[in-house]
Amino acid sequence: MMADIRCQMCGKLSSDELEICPFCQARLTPLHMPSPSDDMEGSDPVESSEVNISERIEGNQEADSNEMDSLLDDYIEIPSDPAELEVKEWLAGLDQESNNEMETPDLIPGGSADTFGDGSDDDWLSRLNSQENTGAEQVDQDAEKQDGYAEKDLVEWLQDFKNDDESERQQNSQPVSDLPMNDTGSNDDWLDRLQPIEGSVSRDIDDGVDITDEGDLGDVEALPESLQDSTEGSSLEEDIETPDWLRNIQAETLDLSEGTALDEAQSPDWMADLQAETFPSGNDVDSDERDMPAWLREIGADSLEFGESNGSGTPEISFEDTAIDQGAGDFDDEMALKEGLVPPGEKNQDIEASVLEANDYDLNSQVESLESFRHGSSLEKLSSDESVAPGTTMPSGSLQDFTQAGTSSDTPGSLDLDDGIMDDISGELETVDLPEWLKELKDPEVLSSDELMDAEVAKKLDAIPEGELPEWIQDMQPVESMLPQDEIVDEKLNEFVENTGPLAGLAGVLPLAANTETRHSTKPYQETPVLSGEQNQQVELFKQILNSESNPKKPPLPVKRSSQRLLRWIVTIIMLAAVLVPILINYPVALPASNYPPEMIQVRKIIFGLPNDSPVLMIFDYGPAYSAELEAAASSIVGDLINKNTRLVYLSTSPTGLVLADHLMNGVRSQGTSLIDPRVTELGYLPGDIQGMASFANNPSYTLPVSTDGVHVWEDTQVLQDVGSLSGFAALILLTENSETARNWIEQVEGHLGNTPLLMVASAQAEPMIRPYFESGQVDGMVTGLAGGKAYEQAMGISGLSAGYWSSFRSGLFVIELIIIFGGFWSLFGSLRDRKLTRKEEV
Amino acid sequence: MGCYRLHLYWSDPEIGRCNLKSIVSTSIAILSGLVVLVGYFVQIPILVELRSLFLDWAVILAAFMVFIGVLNISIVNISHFTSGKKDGFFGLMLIISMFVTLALGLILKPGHPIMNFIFNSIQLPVELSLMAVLSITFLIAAIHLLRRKPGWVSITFLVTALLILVGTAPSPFGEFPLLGGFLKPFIAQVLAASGARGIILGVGLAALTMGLRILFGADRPYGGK
Amino acid sequence: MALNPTMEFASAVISFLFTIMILSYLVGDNPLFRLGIYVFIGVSAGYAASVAFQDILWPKLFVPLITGNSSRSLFLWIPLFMGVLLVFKLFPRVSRLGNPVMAFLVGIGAAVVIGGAVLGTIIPQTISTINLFDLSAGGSAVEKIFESVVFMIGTISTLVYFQYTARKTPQGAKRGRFVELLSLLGKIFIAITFGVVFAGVLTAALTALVDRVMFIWTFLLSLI
Repeated sequence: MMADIRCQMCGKLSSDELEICPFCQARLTPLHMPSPSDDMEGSDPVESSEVNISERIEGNQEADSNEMDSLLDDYIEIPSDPAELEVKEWLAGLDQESNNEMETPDLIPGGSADTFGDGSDDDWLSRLNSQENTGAEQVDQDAEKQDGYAEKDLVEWLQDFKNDDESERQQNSQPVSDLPMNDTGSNDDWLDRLQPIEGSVSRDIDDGVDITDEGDLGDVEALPESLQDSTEGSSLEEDIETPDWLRNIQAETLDLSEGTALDEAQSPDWMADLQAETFPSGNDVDSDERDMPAWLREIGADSLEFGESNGSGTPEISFEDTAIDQGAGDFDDEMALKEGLVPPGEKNQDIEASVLEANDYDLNSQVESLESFRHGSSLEKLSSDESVAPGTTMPSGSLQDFTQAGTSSDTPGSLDLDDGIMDDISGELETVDLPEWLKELKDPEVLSSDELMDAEVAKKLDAIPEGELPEWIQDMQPVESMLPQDEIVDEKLNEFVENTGPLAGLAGVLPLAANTETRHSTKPYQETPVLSGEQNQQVELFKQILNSESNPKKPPLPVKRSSQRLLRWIVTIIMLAAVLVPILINYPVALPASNYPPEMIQVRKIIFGLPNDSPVLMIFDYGPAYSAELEAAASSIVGDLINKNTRLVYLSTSPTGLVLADHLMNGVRSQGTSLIDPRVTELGYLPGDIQGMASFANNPSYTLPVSTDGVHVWEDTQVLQDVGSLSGFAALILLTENSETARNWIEQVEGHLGNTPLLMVASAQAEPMIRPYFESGQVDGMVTGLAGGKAYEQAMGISGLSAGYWSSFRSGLFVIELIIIFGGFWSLFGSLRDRKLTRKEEV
Repeated sequence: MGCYRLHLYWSDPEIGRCNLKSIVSTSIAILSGLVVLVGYFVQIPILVELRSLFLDWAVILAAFMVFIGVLNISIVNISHFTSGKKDGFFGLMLIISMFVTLALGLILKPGHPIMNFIFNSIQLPVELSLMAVLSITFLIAAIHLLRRKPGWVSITFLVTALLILVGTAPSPFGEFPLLGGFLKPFIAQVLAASGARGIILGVGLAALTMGLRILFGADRPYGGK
Repeated sequence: MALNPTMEFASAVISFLFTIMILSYLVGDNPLFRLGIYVFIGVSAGYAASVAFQDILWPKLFVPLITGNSSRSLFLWIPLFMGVLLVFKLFPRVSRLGNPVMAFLVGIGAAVVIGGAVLGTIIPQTISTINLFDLSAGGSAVEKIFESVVFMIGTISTLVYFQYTARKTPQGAKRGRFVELLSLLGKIFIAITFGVVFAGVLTAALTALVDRVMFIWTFLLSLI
């Protein structure tokens, strides 16, 4: 039936003859393991999910054999010890025997038909070794594919068995030799002679795949993805031709697991031969045993030995020493037992028992890659192929895994051994040591040969230790495949069959639309957050900031340095000229104003009211910078004081105060305002600022006991003997340019002056801040700056230092006024113009 | 008495962090301040004596601080000179002039003519010249004031200054009677004085607050924690 | 003691040179100006230190300690020790040793400031403000009242201007309307006050300029 298959992965149509989608390389037809209930001879085709092995064999002749080789090589490569290596060899030899171009199902990716060689036991075993290295690479390549393995290869080699050994199998009356062997009578004979042994299967086989389940693949998830993908419903309609021997294995496995005796018709002939040849002591070795390849016989013996010595669950089968030496065709019943190829009859039972005792082989811990055989559609086809000779059975164990024992026709991915292939697998096997997996076969249920074979193979596949499978196959299998079946069996899940999506047709998968009803929708987030009042304020503030940022204020244009320097030069020249010109032209001094400041009048009154020879304390707390102004303001006052013969006591809180006092006195003398020599006592420098003031105000004699001349003036009757405190002075005159100093002195001497007047000669810049003290009465009089001094001189009718500065001062002051007026207007108009320009730019 | 937190927040877990050194410094500040302050209001003889003693020690320590300032200037300028900075040569000149003047002053005493010579030749003319330069600088600043900070405050400021200047000295063209006789006194003696009183009251209140904080130990500008 | 003419001439020459060096700043910053400034600072520091030693330390501290005549000389070891501790403030590693001394000075200064502020400024000025309306002082009553009112308003408004306590409003911290009005008025009075101060600075600086120009002119004339 030529129909197009729609690829489940990419959705494109492909020819139904193709196994792999040419577009996405996904597997078009899933691989099935046949269920035990399937009739391998005339069984109805498996359900749509199964693959027609025979059609696949007849179909694709492509070189997927490489994949088979690599698959088998990897499978063979995993065991590190020689015993396991022998398994690889005989598996490789299987391929060699199928040199009649029989297509074997590509159950194991990477495997190839050449793996089994030309039928020579030694050859295919040797080839098995040689292809170990190359097979790994091929296996890796194939592992990346969705459809990782080539079913066709498996089908091919199984078909080879079928074609080559069918004739021998027919000749062989032993149930063991039911398996089809190749015509060369080589190692395929052992497959024919393989048959399940009652109870001879490892006690763990029961834990293997439940081959009785209808269409139960066990853990489909344990299958490689390629296999799982391949087990899609639409692609499973093809039949997979399962070799008879595989089917027999399956059937035998089932029988063994059930503990039932196998019917001779069910037990594979090769198994029977295997038993006969392997155990000559207790078994009547059939004549066909001589047809068994020697290596197989040795394998059986070695397997038995291994089973006795090694109590571990890992079968340690060495084919190197046995199979190769004995040549192809030798087969060991014990090896067959270990590998799941159960010899028939009593021999099988004995072997099985011995194997069971010696080997704790756990079928459930088999390498997952052999699951691929179980699910291989090609093998399933093999099982369903009518050309397979009836009664053919497949050995249980690993071959069961190959054929997916226990799978029913309605199970996706079930692999039905093709009877035709199985029929081809014939021939007698020489007595060799059985592989572990053959020895650990249990009595399967009473099932058809195909079912038994499938079951056994499936179980064996499961029982193969992990170490024997390549890593990439192991990685392909889910974790659940490593677990015992009964631990992870989910009946409810197994009952569910997916019908949509890429996993359509598979049972035991998690539904794609699972829990959609129970899924709760996420709470819709409020688009507009709810803000508190403070947050709203912050948001508004932030918006304002952002808005202001968008319209940056134009920074004020910096005035160029050149223009500033030019302006400074101009002003300097003007000012110098304004000051110098009156000097040069000897500009007459204008009469001062008639309005005298009241504070100046007070000073004049007090000075006039001082008695003669009264001590007056003069505090020089100004700096050299203000010496010109304050000397001009105080020179007349000092002159009056000198003329009153007052005892001037100098004090300063500044280090330069006394030298400035001396400078003042020199100026007074130069002016000729004083008629007599002044009586000056210098108390010296008073450090500590306000603390010194407080100390002096509190106890002046203690604070400054001696003058700068070293005289104890407070004890000298000529100076300050009558002065014990500040109140003993006639007046206290403070000369300062700093309002802070004035304030400190005022505060500290408050309460210590008594009736002593406090007079101030202050700079014009300190006058505004001192005036409140004058208004409050704390300061009795004040002369402010050059103008105040000029006014005092005018009031006294004298011409002092102030008069000399006055003309230049007045002209200079006038120029300053003009500059301020014109300059102010110029700046004001300039700023208005700049503002207009800025507004225009903003608009 | 000592750690501020120790007294006010005795249950505070930060008590353990109180430094012994800070307690000593704070205690000294508070004790000395209280002795001097009480002497302002209460005339107890022992307190008066103690107050005089403390103030005398403050005067002596202030003189020590002048020397410390000189030492600091020396260290800074010597480091500038030795490190080869830009004004290292000028720093060297500063150090030379300082130590020469100090030496002469210690030997000859400040009132010596040579000391007066130094003062009259260097310090006095330099400071006067700096003041003269300041006049030009202030004048230029007054010109740019309305350009940099145009506003009614600046206009008031300049107009007031102008009126005061005009009222200070008569112009070459004569005196303005209204300006000199009324306006200038009113501005200076009433308007400016009232503002000045408010300012000095504020300054006095601030000084009172600051002093109380120091006496309470809340502020420790002397390096205490 | 008057200087001989030679010394006076030399003093004049040096003064002239330093005056020119400083006035050269009007043209622009130059090395002469810097030299003059650095020399001036050195001379000022040295002079101040010499004065401090000669006028305070020697007669008040060292002489009593050496002679031991004063009754209080025993107590003078304390300020001497405190002065030595103050020197450690120059070195960061051991500057902590000077903290107690600084605390002593700060404590005394704080007390002095408190006493002076209370007794010398706050109380007298407050009483003076109250006494503005004392018509018995003399003068025209109307004029006095007018001046007193203006004075009072100026004083209060200036104080209110520095009052920064405000209420929290949704639009931010804001003062009351009456307080805002008073502060605005205080701002006017402060501007007037500072204007008068500025005028005084200008006159003081002008006086210095006149002095220097006259000195230069006089010196140049003396050379001729």
